[in-house]
Amino acid sequence: MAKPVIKTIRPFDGNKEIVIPFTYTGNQPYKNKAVIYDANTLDVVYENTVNVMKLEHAIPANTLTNGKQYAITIQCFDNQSNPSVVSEKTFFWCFTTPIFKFSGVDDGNTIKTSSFVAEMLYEQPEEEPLAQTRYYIYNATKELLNVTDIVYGEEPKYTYNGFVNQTNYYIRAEGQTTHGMNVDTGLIRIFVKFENPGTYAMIYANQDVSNNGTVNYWTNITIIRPDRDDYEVKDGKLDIRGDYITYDQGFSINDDFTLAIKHTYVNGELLDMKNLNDDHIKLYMIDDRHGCRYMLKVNDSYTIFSDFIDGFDDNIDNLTVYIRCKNHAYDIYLFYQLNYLLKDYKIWLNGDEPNADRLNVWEDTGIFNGYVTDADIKVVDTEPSGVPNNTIWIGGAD
Amino acid sequence: MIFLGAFMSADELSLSATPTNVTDIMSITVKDTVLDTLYGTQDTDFEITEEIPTKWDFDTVLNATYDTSTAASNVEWTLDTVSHLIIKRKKKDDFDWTIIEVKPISKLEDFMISNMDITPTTGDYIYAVVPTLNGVEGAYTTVDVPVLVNKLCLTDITGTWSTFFTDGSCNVTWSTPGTFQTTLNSRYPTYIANTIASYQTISVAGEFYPTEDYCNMDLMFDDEERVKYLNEFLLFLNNRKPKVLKNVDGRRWLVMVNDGVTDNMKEFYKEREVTFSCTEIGDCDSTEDLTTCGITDIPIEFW
Repeated sequence: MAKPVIKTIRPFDGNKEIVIPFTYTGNQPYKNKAVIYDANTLDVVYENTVNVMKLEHAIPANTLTNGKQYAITIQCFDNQSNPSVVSEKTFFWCFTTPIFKFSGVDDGNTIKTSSFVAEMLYEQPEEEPLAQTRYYIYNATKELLNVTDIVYGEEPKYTYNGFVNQTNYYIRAEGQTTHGMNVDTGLIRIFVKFENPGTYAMIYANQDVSNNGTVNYWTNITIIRPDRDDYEVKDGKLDIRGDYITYDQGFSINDDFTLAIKHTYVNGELLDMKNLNDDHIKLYMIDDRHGCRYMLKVNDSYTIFSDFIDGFDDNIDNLTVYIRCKNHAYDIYLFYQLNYLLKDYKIWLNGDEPNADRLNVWEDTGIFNGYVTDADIKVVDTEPSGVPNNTIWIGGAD
Repeated sequence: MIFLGAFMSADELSLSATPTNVTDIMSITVKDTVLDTLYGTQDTDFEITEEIPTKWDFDTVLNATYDTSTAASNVEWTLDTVSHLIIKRKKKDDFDWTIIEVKPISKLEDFMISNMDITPTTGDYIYAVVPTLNGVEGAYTTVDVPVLVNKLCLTDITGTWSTFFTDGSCNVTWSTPGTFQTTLNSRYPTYIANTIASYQTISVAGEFYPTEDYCNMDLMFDDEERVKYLNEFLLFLNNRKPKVLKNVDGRRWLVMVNDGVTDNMKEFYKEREVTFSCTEIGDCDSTEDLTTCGITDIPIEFW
């Protein structure tokens, strides 16, 4: 006759519900009966039959006492209530879920050096000792970078090395007690930002504190390129009208920041900053019933507006807009030069202003509507006739 | 509430909602404009003016000026213009550099180097990072590092052990192999050397521990800890890896530990002294020697 077989039961917290799985090859069971004995006295502490076809038995929370050893048997019943043979006793322990976490490092903390000694804080009320631990490290996208060999002992310690400055990592430790209870810290995010060594440089080096002649060195090189390389920079500006440019590698902005954009021409959404959780900070130029101004939206739940820009012309105004986030409160600062292209007879050659000898001379800008490029600039002796509106020429008599 | 046609406490008159905390921003997109500058910093205390800061500092996150490229980096380098990044060091008064790391550059993360150099001894050093493109070096960026060794140290790629000089000793023998041959018609013998070998052998004794902290521990009363470190040090000495021996007077040697390490009792069984000798096998300032010994890993084309 078939007999249920209960696999090894790892220690668990008696204050929580636990499901005991088993195997059984007899008739389809319609119910099963579990009997739990105190392992020392063999007194029955739990006896219950549940109507379930699955090969498992759920023990309700707070049924068993932590710190004690128990034995369990299971017996199955088919649809005619014919009993199977009672399983062999399987012994197990109940322990209170231990506190198991990194000592001195909490989620979101900043590490100021390229290495970090991970020590564990382990507390278990019934004094079940920690037996072994493994340490993991993941990158910002939670891809596993490294896992250690098993570190044995009640006070495990491991040194994470080679952290890169200005980078997010996740660390994790997974342990097992002497009776096989699993403990896990979960993923703990850390941000590595080295302490400033005095002056800003591309390379830093200093002697190890133990004065043994070992020199630690690290580079401070930030390479940030856009996701595409088909842009053409011209005269100190990047024309992305009808286009976009995205930077998504080589940097990470944590918490407070100030972001500045100096630009000309704007058409609706100007800026989109986002993180891996798909949270967005967006900056728009809007034209509401009061006039033109910037609108900042944070996750579509928080909106602030800049001052209005009187007489705004999106073609020719030079705009410098700052977004400052401090203590998670946002602010917009705005500077603008109206008619920047024409101001003080300065003619913008799609880049730097022209030389002084080309200023304060007769000009006729007419009404141009469009973006002024080098091709629009003509230097002539006399005013030409029949020029298009968007052409600027310099020269001739006033 | 509508009051005199105005939506009071609504629309732009309402109090802004509590902002959502957005951290770890790793993507910035700018759309549909003509860009002059894009600048980001973690600094939120500087005075905002019309002129956007242009200089990189510790808080700068990105800075694209679009003068020559779309890069928002703190260097002009790109993956296309750098094939290897080289870390070099030399003593301040020396002329020749020693290469201690060469890192091939194939992705942005490769530009970030964080490592250690175990070979320096007491003195003022200069470390440099140098970009190269197919063997052609770019500009050197340097940093000065004063180094002080205040213990007798033995180090290799697996770790460093040290003892205070007052507890240890370090005696040097210089070998220049050669023989004296007497000849028939000369009062004086002729010196014959069939090798250019000229090296030192160093006899060392002391009670070594891995870090300064342990030197402060009184292991006299803790046999278990003392024996643990003693055994680890003996294993370290016999791991067949080239080592750098540093003396407090600034001398150092690239050595191999000779056979015959001994652990001796001094006056009391708990007072141990490890005695060993080692033979100089190279120059700590030679890129080639350090690579041959496995302390660095520099491709031969950079020697």
